[in-house]
Amino acid sequence: MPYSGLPAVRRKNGGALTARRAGRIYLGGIREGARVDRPETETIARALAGEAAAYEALHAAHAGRIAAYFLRSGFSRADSADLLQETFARAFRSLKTFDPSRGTFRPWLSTIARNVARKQWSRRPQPEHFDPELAEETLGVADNPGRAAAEQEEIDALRECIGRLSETLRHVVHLRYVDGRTTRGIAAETGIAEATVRLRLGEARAKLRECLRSKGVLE
Amino acid sequence: MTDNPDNSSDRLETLLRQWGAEQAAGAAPVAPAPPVPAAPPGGAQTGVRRWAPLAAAAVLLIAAGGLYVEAQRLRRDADRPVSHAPPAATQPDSGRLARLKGQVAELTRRLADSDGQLASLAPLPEKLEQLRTQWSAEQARHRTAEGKLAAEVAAREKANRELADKVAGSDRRIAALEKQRDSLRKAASQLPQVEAQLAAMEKRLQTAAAELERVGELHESARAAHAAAQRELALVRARQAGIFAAFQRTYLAANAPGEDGLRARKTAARARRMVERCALLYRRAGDEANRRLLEKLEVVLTRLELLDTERAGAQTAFSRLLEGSGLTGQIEQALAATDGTDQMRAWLMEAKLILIGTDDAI
Repeated sequence: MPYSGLPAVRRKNGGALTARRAGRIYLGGIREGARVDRPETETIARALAGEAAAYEALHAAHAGRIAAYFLRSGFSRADSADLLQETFARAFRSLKTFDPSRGTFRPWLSTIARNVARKQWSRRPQPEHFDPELAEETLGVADNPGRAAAEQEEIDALRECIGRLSETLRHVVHLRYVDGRTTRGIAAETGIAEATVRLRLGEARAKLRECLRSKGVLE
Repeated sequence: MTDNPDNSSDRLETLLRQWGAEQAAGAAPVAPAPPVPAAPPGGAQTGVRRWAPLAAAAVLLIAAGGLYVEAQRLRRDADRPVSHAPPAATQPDSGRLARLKGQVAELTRRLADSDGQLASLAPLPEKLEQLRTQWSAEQARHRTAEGKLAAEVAAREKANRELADKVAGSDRRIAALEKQRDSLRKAASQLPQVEAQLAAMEKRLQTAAAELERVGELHESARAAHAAAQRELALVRARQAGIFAAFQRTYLAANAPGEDGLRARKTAARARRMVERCALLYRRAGDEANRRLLEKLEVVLTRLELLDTERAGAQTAFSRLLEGSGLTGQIEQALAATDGTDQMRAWLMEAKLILIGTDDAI
């Protein structure tokens, strides 16, 4: 049985599936009561005052990004769910030490996530098949509401162009940019040679560049 | 829209990374939030709330300890003999005595309560030790399991790496085979052209073979003609030799009647005054080659005139001299040339008649 990093009891209960299902239900319920559109400092103040909905709002706003960081760092889904729990447990316990005058909540939470991941890597080697730079970029991804309309248009155009790629090229692009795998990691995942992976990525980029030029996104 | 042509690749990479990060963040499975830490009634005093039970337990232990010490002191006071009482107590006031008795009763009751509480606390160290032991065993078990799992993971990762290497090797071999296949396909596409060239070459070869056969036949007929000419030449030469031999015999018989061999030749040379005539011709000869030939013939003819014909060794030496000098061929060449005078040609003919055949003459 492959090592997942979860305690035995969690694995027996199907931890990953349970977490995913629970997360979906949880996110469905949080949209009404969490008031995530409020300023974050106010949400943190309410959490410190003991308001459970404020904790849930913070979790809903950042959990996806942190979970993606763990997945793109090479942890399994079950491990990522565990580490996500540990990150937010630590954050909620130490929330009173958060100082809004020294920065926003996201970098503070990201630091905790990095420390949690580093603690895992001290026990076993960091996977080579995932690009740490891409994993780190996950923590810095911008919130959608704050994005400029022009930038959002560009991302939408790119999404459409990716949809036009062949299944083979789209799969390689997904493994590289969504899963955050290295060329070697993609080769190991798909069973093709690294040189072939590089060729396919180059072909996909060329087609995307052409498509974005036709849309006026790139010159 | 804001890109320039130089960094369109960088811009595409940036967009891809932004898209990928968003996709990953949106698609990542999210576990439910951990339990929310309970907040104190007054607000953000969660730390105090968390430590409150421990503090209460510590206060209880200190109080129990104090009570136990006080109870022991009171017990010692109660057991003390009256004679040890201070002199002021020897005449007790009844009200004060009653109050003291009440205090003793109260203290005795509190002492009993303290003993009960102490008794209830007695199993706690043992339980704590049990918990510690269980914790140590559990920790050791987890470490062992973790070590086994880590070894299993390392083995699987090694197997995966080896498999990936094998796959890469297979890919390289496939690429090489595909390259060979492409080369063969290219060669196959050129096959008709090569076959046409081959047919043209075969046609040219057949033509060349026919030409060679015809030339061979010509060569064969030429060789047959050459052989016939050789035979004719041999006949002519034999006839010429016969005529020359007859002429020589006649010449020698005319100039040296009754003699034969070298003696006849010596006599003929003297009779025809070959040496004197040679000197005259030498003075008249303008051609350098003829002069050199006349010099050589003068030497040979002089030695012939001085030859001791009775001595066999002298005859042999003369014959070898004549053979090694190549004079016979030179005389033939001089006779064939058209630039000599009639006297010169006549003298050379006589020298030939005298000198040729000296081997047979010994």
